[in-house]
Amino acid sequence: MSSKNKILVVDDSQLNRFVISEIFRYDYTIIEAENGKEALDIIKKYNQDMVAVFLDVLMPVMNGIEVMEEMNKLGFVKTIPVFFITADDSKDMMKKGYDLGVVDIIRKPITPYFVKRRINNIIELYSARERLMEVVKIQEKEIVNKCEEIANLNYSIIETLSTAIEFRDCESGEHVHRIHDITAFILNKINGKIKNANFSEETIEEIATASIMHDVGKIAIPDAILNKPGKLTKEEYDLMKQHTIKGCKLLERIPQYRTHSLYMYAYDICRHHHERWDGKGYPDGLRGNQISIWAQVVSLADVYDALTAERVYKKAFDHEKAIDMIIKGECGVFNPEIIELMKSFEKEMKEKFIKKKQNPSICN
Amino acid sequence: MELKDLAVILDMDLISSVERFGNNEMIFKKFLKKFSEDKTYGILCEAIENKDYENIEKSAHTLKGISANLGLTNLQECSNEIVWAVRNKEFDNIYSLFDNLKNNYDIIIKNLSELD
Repeated sequence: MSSKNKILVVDDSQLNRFVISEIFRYDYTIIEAENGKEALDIIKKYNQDMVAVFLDVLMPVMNGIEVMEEMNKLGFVKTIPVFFITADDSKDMMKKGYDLGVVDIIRKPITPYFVKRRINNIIELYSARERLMEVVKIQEKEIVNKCEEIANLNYSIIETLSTAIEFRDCESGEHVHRIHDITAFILNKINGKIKNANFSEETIEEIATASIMHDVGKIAIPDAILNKPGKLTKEEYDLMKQHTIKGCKLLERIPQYRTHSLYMYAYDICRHHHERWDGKGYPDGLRGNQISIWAQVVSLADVYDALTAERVYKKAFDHEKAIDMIIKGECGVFNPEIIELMKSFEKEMKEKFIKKKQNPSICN
Repeated sequence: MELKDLAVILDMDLISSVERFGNNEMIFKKFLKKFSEDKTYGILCEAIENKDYENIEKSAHTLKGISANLGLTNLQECSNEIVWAVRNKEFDNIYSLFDNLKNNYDIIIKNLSELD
């Protein structure tokens, strides 16, 4: 049995206290107080166990109105029903009481039967509400957990698929992690510092997740081209370029996610991660800020990772060489504002993304 | 004097008054007798003497509550009139209202002393 069964009766007259206490003596534990200050001390001590407070309005030391004001400050008014007991019939007093959060006003002389019915109804209501709040709290927690689970599952499915595709490309799964981490890193560094780059933490994570799908279209590119060690012919290169469009076609096949922002980012990144600032990229030849900031960032992250990793057609460059090549535009032109900012954080990139030894290519 | 005789003299609703005390006549009588010792009336008299309107209102209000719960309807009514006279700033009326209350109070005390 719960210990939540206390009723506090506050009145400076013993007679008046007795009359109220008498009604509830058999069903509840009664605590009595002679003035507002005593009452407040008891409420602070036993608020968890309190099912109702009966409060006289006119009292020495601290009156009922002052007690209510204090209870409001302490936040007890929402959890403990308070009843004014008063011989006063002025509208002003009643309004003041109700405004302060008093549940009901009981007039002297009291009629025990009615008081008992009214109070029991309210106590029942409060405890039902409390039980429901408890249930809601538990359910809220469950929902948060489930959401997290779904997000994690979602991420790992995307990661698995993308890794499978990278495998064909003779990369290890490492590229998938790295493109995610480098994208998030650069976004955080430029966030708020250049036009169109104002992202919440959640959005940055979403873009980073979307970034790992940038090359899904490669699944539709023949092995012979994908893994050709030598230079591609013009025809082969044209075919290779198709991976951007083919990636989008693939994503279009998942209709239920089209309205999802992750989908929107993934689609845009898939299509435009080979566009360049000067309009010389592919497939659409977009230029400048026609290319979304996230696609710009992913293409930079992709180039940096490609340069610093070993590929079938090349050895890994060291960090300094890679940065130098990017700045000089040897891998295409990037947004000059991002390049300028990169100069201030490239050392940190080296620390974060180079110190790990590259996994050897699985094809060798 | 028995309780039912007292109720007739003082014009009380005995049934609902006793009900307030768990339908226990003994307890009700105990509280009635205690009323003679209650200090509220004395405080009211002092406030009247000092023309201390704030305390006149307060003590008349307290007296109203106590007499209401004891079923002393007449005294409750007299107290209420004084409370409202102060609130409405009809200060000249207070003294005749108090005389009326005093008469009622004296009758109650006299009869309570004869209660078995």
